[in-house]
Parts: sequence; C-alpha cells; structure tokens
Amino acid sequence: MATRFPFLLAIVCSLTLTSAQQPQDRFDIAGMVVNSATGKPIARALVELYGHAMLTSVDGEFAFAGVPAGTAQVTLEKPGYFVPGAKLTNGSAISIEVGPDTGKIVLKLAPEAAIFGRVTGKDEEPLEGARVEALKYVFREGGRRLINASIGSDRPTDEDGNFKISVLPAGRYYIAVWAGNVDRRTLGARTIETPEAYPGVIFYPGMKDMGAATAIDLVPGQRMELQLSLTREPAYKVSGTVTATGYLLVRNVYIVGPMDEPLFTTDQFDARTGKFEFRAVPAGKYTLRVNGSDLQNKVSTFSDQTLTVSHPLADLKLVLRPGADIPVVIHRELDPSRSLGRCTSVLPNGEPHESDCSEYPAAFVELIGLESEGRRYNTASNALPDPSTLEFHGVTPGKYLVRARANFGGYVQSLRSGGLDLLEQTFTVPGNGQIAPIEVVVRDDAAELRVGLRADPPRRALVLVVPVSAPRAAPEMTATSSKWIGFPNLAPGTYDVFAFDAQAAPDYADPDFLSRYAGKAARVTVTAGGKASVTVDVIQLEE
Amino acid sequence: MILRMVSLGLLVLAVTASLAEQTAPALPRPADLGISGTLVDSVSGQPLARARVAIAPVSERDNLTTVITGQDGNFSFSGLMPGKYTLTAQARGYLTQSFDQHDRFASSIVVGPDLVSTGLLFRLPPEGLIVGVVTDEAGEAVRNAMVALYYTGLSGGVEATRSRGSASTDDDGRYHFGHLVPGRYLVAINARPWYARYTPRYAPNARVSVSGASASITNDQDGLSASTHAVASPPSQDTGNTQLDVAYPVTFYGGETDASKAMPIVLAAGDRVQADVTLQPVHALHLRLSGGQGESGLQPWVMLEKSVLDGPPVFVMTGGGQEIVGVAPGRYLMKTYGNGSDANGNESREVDLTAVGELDRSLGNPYAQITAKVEVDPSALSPQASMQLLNKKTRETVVGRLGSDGEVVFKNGVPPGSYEVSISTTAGIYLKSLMATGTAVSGRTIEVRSGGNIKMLVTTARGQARITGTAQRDGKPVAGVMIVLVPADPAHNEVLFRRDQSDSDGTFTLASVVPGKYTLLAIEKGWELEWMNPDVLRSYLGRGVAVEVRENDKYDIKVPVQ
Repeated sequence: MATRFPFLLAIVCSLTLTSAQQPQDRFDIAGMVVNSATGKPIARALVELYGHAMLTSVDGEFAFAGVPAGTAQVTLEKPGYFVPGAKLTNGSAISIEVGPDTGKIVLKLAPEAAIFGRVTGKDEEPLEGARVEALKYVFREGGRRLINASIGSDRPTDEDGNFKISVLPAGRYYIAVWAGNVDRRTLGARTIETPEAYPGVIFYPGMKDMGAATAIDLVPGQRMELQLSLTREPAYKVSGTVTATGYLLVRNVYIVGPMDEPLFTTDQFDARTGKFEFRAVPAGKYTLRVNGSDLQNKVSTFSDQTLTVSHPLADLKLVLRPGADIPVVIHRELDPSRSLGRCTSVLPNGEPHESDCSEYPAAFVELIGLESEGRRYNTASNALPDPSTLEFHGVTPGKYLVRARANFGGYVQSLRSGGLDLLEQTFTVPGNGQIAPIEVVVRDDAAELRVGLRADPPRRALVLVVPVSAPRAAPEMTATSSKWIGFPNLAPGTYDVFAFDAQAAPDYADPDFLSRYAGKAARVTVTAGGKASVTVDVIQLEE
Repeated sequence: MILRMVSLGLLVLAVTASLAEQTAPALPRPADLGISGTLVDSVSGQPLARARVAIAPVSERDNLTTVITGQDGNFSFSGLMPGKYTLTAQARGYLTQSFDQHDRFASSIVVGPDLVSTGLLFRLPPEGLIVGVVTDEAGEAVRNAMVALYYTGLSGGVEATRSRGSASTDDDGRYHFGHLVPGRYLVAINARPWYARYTPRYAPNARVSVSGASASITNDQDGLSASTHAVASPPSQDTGNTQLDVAYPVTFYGGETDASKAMPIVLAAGDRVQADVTLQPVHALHLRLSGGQGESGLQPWVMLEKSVLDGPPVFVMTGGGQEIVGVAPGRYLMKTYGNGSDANGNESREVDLTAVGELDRSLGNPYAQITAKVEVDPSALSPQASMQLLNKKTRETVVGRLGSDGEVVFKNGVPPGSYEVSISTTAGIYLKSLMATGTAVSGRTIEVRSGGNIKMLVTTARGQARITGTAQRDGKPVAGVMIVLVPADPAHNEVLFRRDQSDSDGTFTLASVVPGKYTLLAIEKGWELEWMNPDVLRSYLGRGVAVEVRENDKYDIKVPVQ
C-alpha cells in the first residue's frame, strides 16, 4: 500500500535513539479508515501515530513506515465523525498492536447524526429566535440528569423558522423548544390588551411536561427532520418588588422552568427600586428566581419561590437572602511518623517556601447540586492558618451530593453531618436554621489494590473500582493498556472491580448498567494498611 | 424623532430620555382624531397585507397599540388623544422600521385638530439575506469558520466600512446573515484547517522522533506550491508533518485575500445572495518574538488582525510564548502585549509577514501612556462613570474608568492615532474644557503619538440645553427632513453634533446639547449625504441658523429647509 505513495516515504526521517532505549524491531504498517455505519472508506481522515500525522487517501488508506513493535496509540480525527469510545479514553486514541503479524488495520469512525426542521406558530407562520435543543439523560455524580446534548450547535431559528442540531452521537434524545424570546421579536405581541404568549418551553411533540415527551432514537449518520408547531396561550402580567437582605445586591429576576433554565426575563426591572415586571407570562407553574451577589460580585446567590400564573399577579414580594454558611471540619488521623509530602509555594516576596504541607487542607470537599448542575461549591485548597476549619459560603438551599477526597495521599474514612452519613445519604441544605458542620476524617493507612487484566488480544481497558458499602462515593477509575494497574489509596472496605473495553464507551455511571455486568465483576475486601490483588476479565460490551 | 434600537436584533422602541418629558397635551379628545394609511413595499409599491402596524405615544414608547393590515395594506387607529405618536410596522420579509425611517431617525406622526395624520403612505423596505457555504480545498465543509460581514458605503452619515456582525459556520459549512439593508457588503472568512499540525521549529529539542510518513494535504498541489517561495526553508530538521503545517489566509468572498481587491456583494432590497467561499491552504509561518522583553519577564503575547479597508479589522489569531505558529503569509496589524497589568510593552504596527523569522518587538509603535484628571462634582460619579477615546480612523473606542477622585488611567495604553475625548457620568454633566500635556489638542481631539506620555485635565459643567423647532419652507412646516446641529470646528468636535428628523408637523427636538456655538441646519434628503463629513456640510452652513447655546436653556427655532 505504501508503495502506491512513494512521495510519502520521501519525508521519512530516521530514528533518533537515546542511550536508554533498546533497539527495537520496526514494521511498516498500513490500514484503512471506514465509516462504521456504511463500511465505506473515509478519505482525508487524519491519522496520527507517534506525532506523525497524515490524511487518508481517496480510498481511505494510510501507511506508516518503520513503526516500533508493541502497542501504539493511534489518534483519529475527521469532521462529521466520532471516534468510538473517544469520550472515555484520553482524546481519541485507539490502541493497535504493531508486530510481524500486524495485517491491514481497519479503523472505524461513526458518522454524526442531526435533527433539523422548522418551528412554526399560528397559520404556519415561521417563528424566529426560538431555541431548539436535543436533551439526553446521562448518569453522573449520583444521579440521572437531563442535559443539553446540542451545546454549540443550537443556534436560534432563523427568519424562516429553520433549526438544525448537529454533531449528535447516536442515542436517545428528547427535543425541547424554548420560545420565551419569540414574542419579544414580534411588534406589540406583549402589549395588546388580552396578551397571549408562546409557552416558555415545550417538549416534542408538544408537551409541557418532560415526562410526556416522545423520545427520538437516532442511529449513526441519521438526519431526521422534525416539524415543531407552537400555539400562543393566554398570558398575564406578573409584577412586584424584590428586596435584598444582608450584604447582597439584586442583579436580576427571572422565571425558571422545569429544567431549572430561565424561561422569561423581565420586561422591566429597576435595580434601584427592585420593581420588576413580566408583561406576558403564559398560565402555568414556574419558579420565580431572584439572582444577586455581594457588592464585589464575588459570591452569587439566588432565592426561589414558586409561581402559579392563572391570572394577572401584581405586588409580588420577593426577598433575596444570603445562602447558608456551612462549616467544614477536617480531622487528620495520621501516623505522625509518615510524611505527607513536600509542598512548595512562592511567597508574596517571590521567595520559594517549602513545607511539610501541614498548612494545606488535608481534604477537598465539594457540594454538587442534585436539582441543578450549576450549583457547585468547593472548599479552599490554598495554605491556611487553620487548615482543619473550612467553610462553604452562601450555599443556596437545596439537595446536594457531597464528595470529599484526600489531598495528600491517604483516603477519606468518613464524611458526616450530624447524624447523616454523607457517603451514603443526600445532604439537604434548608432555607434557614442551623446546619451541623460537615466533618471529614482523613487517614493515611490506606489499602492498596492491584488489579490484573485478562484480555486477548490485550487492549485498552477502563478499570472501575466501585465501593459497595458507600454507594454515593465516586468510583476509582483509570484507563490503561497495561496488564496490571494499582490503586494505592483505597479506603478500607468492599469493592466491585470492573474492567471494560475502553473503545465501547460504557455508561459506567448508570447503576443499572453496572448491575447488568455485576456477574463479571470481582468482589474484593481491603483492610486498613493492607494489600490485595485481584484479576478480572476485560468485559467486551455488546454493541 | 430619534429612535433607540435595543438588542435582540429587531427594533424595539424604548423611551429616550430626551422625549420622556413630553406628554400629550390634555386637550379634549375629538372623536375623529386618528392615524391611518397604507403599508406598501418600498420597491414595488404593492400593499402589504397581514402585517403588524403599531403606534405608541412618544412619551411612552412601550405602550403599543397594534393592528393587522387588511388585504389592501390599510391600517387605521382612531379615537386618539392629540399628541405625537411613533408609527412602526413589521412584516415577514421586510425590515421592521418606523415611518420614513433613515438610519436611527424617523418621523413621528402628530395628531391634532388641524393636522393631517391620515392617508399616510408607509413604505417598508424588503430585507436582504446573505447566505453561503464555506468549503475547503477538497470541497468539504469547513466547520466553525468565523465569517465577518462588512457593510461598505454610506451609513450613519459616513462613507465607510462597518462591521455588521459575525457568524460561525455550522457542521455543513453554512453561514447566514438575515435582516440586511440594501447595499454593498464584504464577507471575510477566518478559519484554520481542521487537520493542521504545527510542530514548533524554534523550541529546543523540538521532537525526538521515530520515522514516519506524511501524506499530501490536497489533491490539487498547485495552490500550495505556488506560495512556497514566500516561505523560508525551515531552520530545524524536518519532523514529518510539514505537509500539514498549513493555514488559510483570511479570504474574502470571491477568493481574494486582500480586502481592497475583494469583490463586494451588491445586495438590492429583498435580495437573497448566495456567497460561497472556498479556502485554499498555504504553508504556515513560524514566528518568533525577540527583543523588548518586558521588565516583568513575562512572555509577551501577540494578536494579529487583518485590515478591512477603513473598517474594523478582522481578528485572525492570538499567540504567545516562544513561537507563533499557524500564520498565513500576508499583511497584518500586529498588536503586542507585554503583560496584562500596564501599558509597558504594549504596541501595534503593520507587518508584512512573508517568511519565517524573528519579529523584533522593539521596532513597533509602543502604546502611549495616558492619564486624566476630571474635575467633576463627586455626586455625578457612579461606578459606571467613564472616559472614552474615539479613534477617528478606526472608530474603535478606548474606555477608562473614572475613579472616585476623578482620576482616569488607561491601563493597557492607547495605540497611536487621533482621538476624540468624551466623558459619560450622570445625565446633564458635560465636558467643558480639555487641556493636555504631551499632545496637541484641537477642540476635543488629541493626537496620540507612539510611546507618548499624555496627561489630561478635563473640566466639567452641569446643564445641557434643549432645542426644539420647526423645519419650514415658505412659512410651511416640512416633514421628514434631516435636522443637524453643527458645532464650531466640527472636525474636532464630533461628539457635539446633534441630529433629528422632522416629524409630520415639521417639528423636531435636539436634547442634551452642550453649551457653545452652533449652526442649525434643515436639509431635505439630507440622509443621502455624507452628513458626518464637515466638508460636505460646509456648503449648507451659510443658509443655516446660528445659535449660541447657554447652560440649561431651552430654544424654539424655525429653520429654513435647504
């Protein structure tokens, strides 16, 4: 194959060997990039190996000369296609084995799917300025979340009402149409005497409730056309006054929909007096949110109240309250003879400063909003006079997942707030009242687990070590091409160890997914300061 | 009447401070007072059915009353109170405009017992559309290319090239600019080949490498080899990816890479123009910055822009550190930043990049250091108070925050050029005098030289005036003419100009007038003139009305229409 491109080989440069390297056998390799859906070759795909890149020929072919024997990482790229498994492994690397038996290599790319169509209103009138999103469920950080899968390609509809959502991987989607801005573009639509307005959001095929939406299943390369039709509904004026307490400054007021996304912004808002007005809100149940910050705009916070619109609402009173301050106490139960490590920092005068790290917090704690991904708080990581006492400042009330990890080796033995075990339970931040401190115990007598991988031929695997006893804790996870991988800082306890073929992109955060493969996991219990090892098969997923 | 455009791309009428004080006189409401007329296509004259037409009192522009036109394009509002009303129309495929709109000005309709406000012919211009597909040398779609749209011609009283926004191409390489006024446009594309690979050439130990092969980047080698003479041979050993070390020059519709040779798109009212662009790669340059290292020791970074006639340049790229890669040969405006915290090391210059090489930073035009002291009543200062320097050539504005002591520091320095100085604080405060060391001052204009050190002293006063009046010919009011208040020494006092368009009864309002000497003009079809150009206005000044405006005064002036 390479001989068909003699000019390619003209630029081959010779190997530079350093003294540390052993001479290696080298092989010429050749292959082809194909569309996984059609099997057809893909021309002008970029194939990169050891820093050398080339574009495939018209017939989808590539060739590299003098490649060292062993496992090599190939990166593959082509606009319009996905590399299967790319989101799990680093970049878009695919492992190949180079040796005397390496035949013609076939690399597959999955074509992107797209959804396109028109948004129309009354009398087939095209609606400009609506936003159409493809939503999908993902599992992460303790739950199933509905996210926008079309970020970056969801331009508002044009003057003919056209939309297109592209760059979609195959999968199951729900379509949302955000029309809160459409009426702003229509002269006088929000001021006529009996106003009507388009709903803030509807879900295909026309539902207000996401639960009633129809799923759309896309296969690789599919381009699906959808017609979306909206109707105006009776709408009412909603107005009132917002005030801030404490050190806070009100920034804006808006109406939030079922996905915690702003549906309507105010038609009038005076930051000085706090008076706000929404001119035309369709009947329905919403959340009215006031957003604010401290004077320096460093800490932002918001307060919500439910809003049911079925007639005009005037003189609503809204109060912006500072969020909760939650103390965090870190208990270091460490062996004094063991050193945490050495920490180097630069003092304000430019001098380097070295220490035993004891002035840094021994753990990093995060609050992850379960109702809205945007709500996230984390503790400080810098050197502090008292690194065992930290605080979350201005936390908006709601339900949170709490995650903690040890900063300098070691492990988090327990994570509690009052009687709550936060490794297993959800943390609820109330609107007012005292909140017990979050207490973190960090220990350094971690267990070490070595995981051996059985796969023939050897391939890149994603290894998951999932705690059985603390289901809300994050699993340890590593992608590797070696036969052994170590997990040196495990908390004592019982784990299920899984290894998946990294190319197949398993939805490992989905508990249903893991329970389906539970039979192929190895269960292992590790003790404080102990060492254990376990060998697992690399699980080949059904496509 | 002056309109104020608010975001969202379409016209939203908002209350302007100047007219908010006016209210409809509380006269008894005669039953037959109203506004009516026919909405037509401004090109074909055909009536526009099922369009939205709205009126609102000029004192309360959000208070719209809307009607839908009939099959004959007719609209009618009856039972109105006497007073001034905005009249605005919206139809699919047309620009949303107010009555007889020119730029940001339109004529209000005045309703009263002896006034004509019926039988209006409301001409709405069809809107244009420019769409296109950007493809690469292999005919494949270029995604995420930046597409800049420029309007070139008379706009806002100046013959100039102005940015009309930018868009990025979608997965099929498509871009789309809607709601365009007729005129001449340029489309410029900035993109990087998706497959480009840049191997540093100057960095030590650039790459310890195994052998490899590289393919051609294109089936059509001509586009590439033609430009190779402009590129010096690489200083270090080849590392295998030279065929992918390529860039796309900024390319205009028509394939030109030089704006002055670019083919304008002539968009007539209602046109939909398809403007496809194909990009051709050239070998990319590797540039290394040397000289003039800032005292901070921080690595400088560079921004490259491509000039577009006399308009704002197209952003091309930023780069920093040891080496800047991925640059297509050509002429650029290069801005260098020493570090973010002060003007030290910031400079700009025109460069013609034709070969690999070192760029000596010390040869540039260092930015000037400018500070100002504004003497102002502390109560007039808010966190938003600022000083603006308007570059008379590029029309870019440099903004400096006004501290609580009235001090202004232009932290990042100011590129050389001619600038007009203005301040914005609370309403009613105006710039009274400007003195400066380190520069020549004419009116409100300062000359900023490269590397200069300028200190300004600005005094302020309170009490802007207001002028109302009527445009007349032979003693009769004239609607729809351009009203312009020309300051003394207009070339150096651009910010003192005030403009309006006469309403249906010939009246006009000029608000927030800074005290001083002016000439007031009323020019029929003035909107077709380059009215910001003092040379164009000169021939009209002789027949204007001289006005000396004093603080807080109100004037009512009859102006002859020329």
